Amino acid sequence: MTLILNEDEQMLADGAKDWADNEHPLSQFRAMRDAGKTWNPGLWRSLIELGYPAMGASLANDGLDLGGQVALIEPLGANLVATPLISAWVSALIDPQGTDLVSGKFSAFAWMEAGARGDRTASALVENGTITGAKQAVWDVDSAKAIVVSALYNGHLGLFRVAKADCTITALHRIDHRDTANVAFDGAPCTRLAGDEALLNTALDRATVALCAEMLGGMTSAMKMLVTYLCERRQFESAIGSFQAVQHRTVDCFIEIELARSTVLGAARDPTPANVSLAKARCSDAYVLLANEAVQFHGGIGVTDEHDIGFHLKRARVCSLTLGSSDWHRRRWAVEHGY
Amino acid sequence: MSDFRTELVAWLEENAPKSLHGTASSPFQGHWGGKSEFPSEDHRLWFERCLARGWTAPNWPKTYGGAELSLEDARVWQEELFKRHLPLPLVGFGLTMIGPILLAAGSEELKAAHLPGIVSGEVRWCQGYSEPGAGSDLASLRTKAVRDGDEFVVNGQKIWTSHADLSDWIFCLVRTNDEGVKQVGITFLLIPMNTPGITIRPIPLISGASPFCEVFFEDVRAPVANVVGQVDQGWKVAKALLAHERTMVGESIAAGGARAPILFTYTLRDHAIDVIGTDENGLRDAAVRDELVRSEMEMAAMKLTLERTKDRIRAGDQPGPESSIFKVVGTELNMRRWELALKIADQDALGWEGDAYSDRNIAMTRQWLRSRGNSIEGGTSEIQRNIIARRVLGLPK
Ligand SMILES: Cc1cc2nc3c(=O)[nH]c(=O)nc-3n(C[C@H](O)[C@H](O)[C@H](O)COP(=O)(O)OP(=O)(O)OC[C@H]3O[C@@H](n4cnc5c(N)ncnc54)[C@H](O)[C@@H]3O)c2cc1C
Repeated sequence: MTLILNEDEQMLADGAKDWADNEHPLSQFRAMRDAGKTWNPGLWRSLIELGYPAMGASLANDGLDLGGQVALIEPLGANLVATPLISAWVSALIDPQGTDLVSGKFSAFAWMEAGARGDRTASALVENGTITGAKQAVWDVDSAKAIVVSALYNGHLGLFRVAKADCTITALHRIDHRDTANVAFDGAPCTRLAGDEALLNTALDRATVALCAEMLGGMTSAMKMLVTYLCERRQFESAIGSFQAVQHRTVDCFIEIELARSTVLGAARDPTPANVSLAKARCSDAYVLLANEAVQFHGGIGVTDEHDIGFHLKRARVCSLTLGSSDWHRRRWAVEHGY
Repeated sequence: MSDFRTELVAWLEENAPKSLHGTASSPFQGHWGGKSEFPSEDHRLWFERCLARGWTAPNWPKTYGGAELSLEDARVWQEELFKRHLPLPLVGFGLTMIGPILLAAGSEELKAAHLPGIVSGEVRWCQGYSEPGAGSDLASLRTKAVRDGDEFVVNGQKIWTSHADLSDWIFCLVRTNDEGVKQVGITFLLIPMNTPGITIRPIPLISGASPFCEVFFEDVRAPVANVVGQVDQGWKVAKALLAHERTMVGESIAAGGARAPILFTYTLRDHAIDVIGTDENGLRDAAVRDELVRSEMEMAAMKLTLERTKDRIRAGDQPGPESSIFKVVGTELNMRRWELALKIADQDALGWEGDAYSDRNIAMTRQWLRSRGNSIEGGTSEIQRNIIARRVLGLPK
């Protein structure tokens, strides 16, 4: 196990970075937001043509390569590229029949319920081949072909595919402008899939690692914006980056990114629940810290809509509360280690 | 298992004395060489057996008594020792500070003169950098060396010199030139501690121990041949050495930190469970549990970062000024952990000595006091942050 990208992964990362910097600078995210959209079908199509969905799932022989996913996602996270890539990878695990990564066909995963605060339990109920219940903040419903739902069946947790036409879908308008929806089922016909609670946990843990990589990209990008501004902006006849109070807090941001990066690689190489929780707790807090500090050191311009740093502030907040907050993951880590 | 690991495990089985298993917690635990005595006959045996294989300096060249292990195998060597909580056969500033510098920048003569004595544990070294007027601003140092033929004549004072009283040699920064910027005109000089004119005075610490000293130089003569690098150009050598020191501090803390034997295998978790107890939700005090878990998770993240740095070095990267992050994170984390240990112990944490307090609690309290120096020694936390700000992030002066 090595905690740096191998040659293949590095190639993926370099390619994705070139693509993101050329085809999708942050201004593209702003344009999408201004147009009132939550994802960009043209962009998703070009990622499919580049083969990213398939590549992220095919590097290792078990088809579940997290190193490749981390390599691909980080540069996209840096430029806030809004695509259903992570959902597609999750779908390949929980709904292999309903997924074709080469054409970009996948099912969205509806697992979280109101009030669950990160817990993965379900109260949606399957009886007589139909499902009733409601799920919260489901990713990428708009771009998905179908929906996979976690629900109780004979007292056990199972996974079920439901057609989008049979659900009530309420698109959410959230601070990060991504494709997210609440989904409700009232006696909707459903198909039982092979997975159980263990698969649900595996899939969500892997999605968490990928999300951590996205956050790593986001915090690195916020850091870059911060350092650039500290060198440019002058007050008191000096660059503001020469003030020690500013320098030391910026160094602490850098340290947090370095630690976060190690935990993400650690989780990608060995995605045990404890390792995944270590990474998610660290990344959640680090991305939020980076965004907060970067806004602070931009002064007034930092809290305007005109400046891009606010996009990271909003995305960091969403990511930090998605797939379990840092508190949730610290609690899980504690249980895994017997505290 | 790699071939080397297989061979090593078999060798340890045969040669590592049973009484030494479970007696060490960090890379600072081991035989310091020089005048220091072996605590037991088994310690001596262990040292001599390792020495015979070149394993007191596992990755140094064989010419100087090392075993020339690859970085990978040297790591295996450490791992297998730590797994068994075996002490290192040899530790000290010779192995971890001056040795690597001589290997990288020393002349053949200096290497041949000094490396074998380090490997064999005969010579113990101390570090003469800081002075009363030159701490963080190390380059303002004033201990003067004036040339007289083939010798320098040294006058001045060093302070905070760890273990000067037990050392045989000192590597010293001296001023050989007063002109121009202060970083130029510093020379890196090696001096035997028994040279006439050197006086040593130990300084007691708040922990009650006295690991460091003042060192006075009065007309001390040292040959010009003892200069590492060039005369007046010692600053570069001095800084390279500090980078070694900083990574080493991080590694030591990740491996459990230097600590009294009574605390070797007693973890913060054991301590919390012993004192506070558990119920069905885990540790009975939720606030302590949260603080403890945060601390353990930070430790896990730092260990992974050290591993990642080693992986980068193996892949051909040079470690640079970012080694300062280990100094900052490692020491500040260690200090918070000892504070947490005290908080857990509550009233039992407040004893200095006496029968009212267990040996373990006294050791813990002393260790907390010792840890307060962690963010000062080897360059303070503030200075490390300055270094990262300027040299890693490129922030303006
Ligand atoms: C346990 C221990 C062992 C040691 N062993 C050795 C040894 O073996 N050999 C040796 O040579 N030295 C040794 N030292 C000395 C150590 O390197 C110095 O104490 C350290 O570099 C700080 O110098 P100072 O004590 O003069 O503090 P000062 O430099 O006076 O610093 C005082 C305070 O001011 C802050 N400060 C100073 N400059 C700045 C700045 N530019 N920006 C922000 N803050 C600043 C510092 O961070 C610190 O908080 C040891 C120290 C300790 C505690």
